[in-house]
Amino acid sequence: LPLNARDIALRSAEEAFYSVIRSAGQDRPPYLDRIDYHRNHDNGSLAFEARFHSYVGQSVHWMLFERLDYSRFDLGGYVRECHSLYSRLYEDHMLQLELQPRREALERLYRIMAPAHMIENAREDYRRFEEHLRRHHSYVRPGSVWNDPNPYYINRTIREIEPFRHEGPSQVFRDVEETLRRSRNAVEAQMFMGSATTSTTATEQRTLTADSVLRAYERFASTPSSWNNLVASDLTEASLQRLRDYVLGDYAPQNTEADKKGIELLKSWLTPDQLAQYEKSKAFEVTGSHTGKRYRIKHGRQMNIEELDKNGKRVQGLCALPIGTLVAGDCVLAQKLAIETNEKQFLEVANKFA
Amino acid sequence: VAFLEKMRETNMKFSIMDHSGHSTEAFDKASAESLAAAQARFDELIAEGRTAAVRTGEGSGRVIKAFEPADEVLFIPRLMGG
Repeated sequence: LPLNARDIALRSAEEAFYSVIRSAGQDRPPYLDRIDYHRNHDNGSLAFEARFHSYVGQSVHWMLFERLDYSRFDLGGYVRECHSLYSRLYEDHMLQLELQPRREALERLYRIMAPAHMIENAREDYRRFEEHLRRHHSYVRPGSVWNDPNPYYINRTIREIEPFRHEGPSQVFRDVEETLRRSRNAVEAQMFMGSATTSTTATEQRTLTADSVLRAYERFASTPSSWNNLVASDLTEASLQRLRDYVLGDYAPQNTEADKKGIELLKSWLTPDQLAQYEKSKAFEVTGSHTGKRYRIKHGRQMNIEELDKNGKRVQGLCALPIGTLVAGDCVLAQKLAIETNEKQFLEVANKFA
Repeated sequence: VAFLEKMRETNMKFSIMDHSGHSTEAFDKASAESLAAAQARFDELIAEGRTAAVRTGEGSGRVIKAFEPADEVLFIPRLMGG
C-alpha cells in the first residue's frame, strides 16, 4: 500500500525510537511490555502505542502519534524526548537490578534475624530510592514535555503516575503499627478477662499478629508500588527496631536492658546446679512439687518447657507463661517457681504439645 | 559491716515482674508506717492477680498468700497456657 505522509512520519518516529534503544546497547528495553499499532478508520492514519512497566511499578503508557499533525512533526525533538524517557526508564531498570538482592535480603531479615548492617543497607536503599523519586518523579518541570499542550507535539498519556507525596510518617508503618496496636490490645484484653488463660487463643493470636506484620513487611519489601508513600527519613532505627522486636518475638537477641535485668533476676533465684546448667546450655532442670517429675526449662518465653522421663528424655512439651509482655528471664523464673511450688496448678494451665 | 547488716535486717524489697525486666520497691521493716504501706501494696498486687513468692534458700522459694515481712518478695503475673 502506498504510504501517506502520516505513515512515513510514523515509520520515522518508530525507527528513531528503536535507534535510541539500540544506541543504549539493547535491542529493546527489558521493561517494554508491548507495542501496539492502531489504525484510525476515520482518516486512515496509524498510531503506535508503547507500554512500559517502570521500576516503580507504574505503567507508563505512551500514545504516540495520536492526533499527530504530521506537517509539523519534529523528528529531532521526538528523538530527544525518546532519549530522555528511555534514560529515565533505563535508570529505573538499573536501580531495580541493583536493589533486587537488597530487597531479597530485607525479606530474609524479617524472617530470621536482623543484623544492624542489613538494616543500615536497607535504609541506604530507601534513601537512594527517595532521591531517585525526588529527581525524576515527584515534580513536573514547567514547560516540560509531560504536559506540553502543543497539539502537534508527540502526544503521550502517562497514566497511574501521581505526584509522590512527602508528608510525614510513612503510611506503611502507620498501618503496620495500627494493626499491631489493635491486635495487642485485643490479645491483652482477652488475657486479663481470663478467656485466654487456659487456651491457645493468646498464642494463636500472637502468632497471627506477628504473621500479619510479617506479611506487611513482605508486601512492603517486595511490592515497589507500596513504596510510593515511603519517605526514607521516616525509617528511623527506633521504628525498625520496634517492629523487628515484635516480629522476631521470642527469638530476638537479648540485648536490651530489660533482658539483662530479667536474666539477672533469674540467675539470683537459681540453685548453683541450675545456674551451672543455665550458663552452659541456656537451659536447666527443675523438679515438680507434686509428682517429682523432672522438667527442662529452656531460655525463652513460651513452648520452652519439656517434661522428661527417668532417663532424661523428652516426654512432651509444655507451654505456660505469665500474662503481659515480659522478658524471657522473667518468664523462665515464673515457670521455674510455678513447677517447683505448685506443679499441679501449672499442669492444669499449661498446654501440651508433642 | 554492722551498718550493712542493719540495713539488710530492716530493708524489704518488692521485685515486680514487668516489661522492663522488673521494677523494685523498697520498704523499711523497722518502720510501722512503711510496713503498713508494704502490706497495702502487697494486697494491691495480689488483687491484680499476681503470685507472691519469697526465698527459702539458695535457688528455692515458696508462694505466700498473705503478707510476710520477708527480705524480698517476688511478684509474678498470673500464668496462662501458651
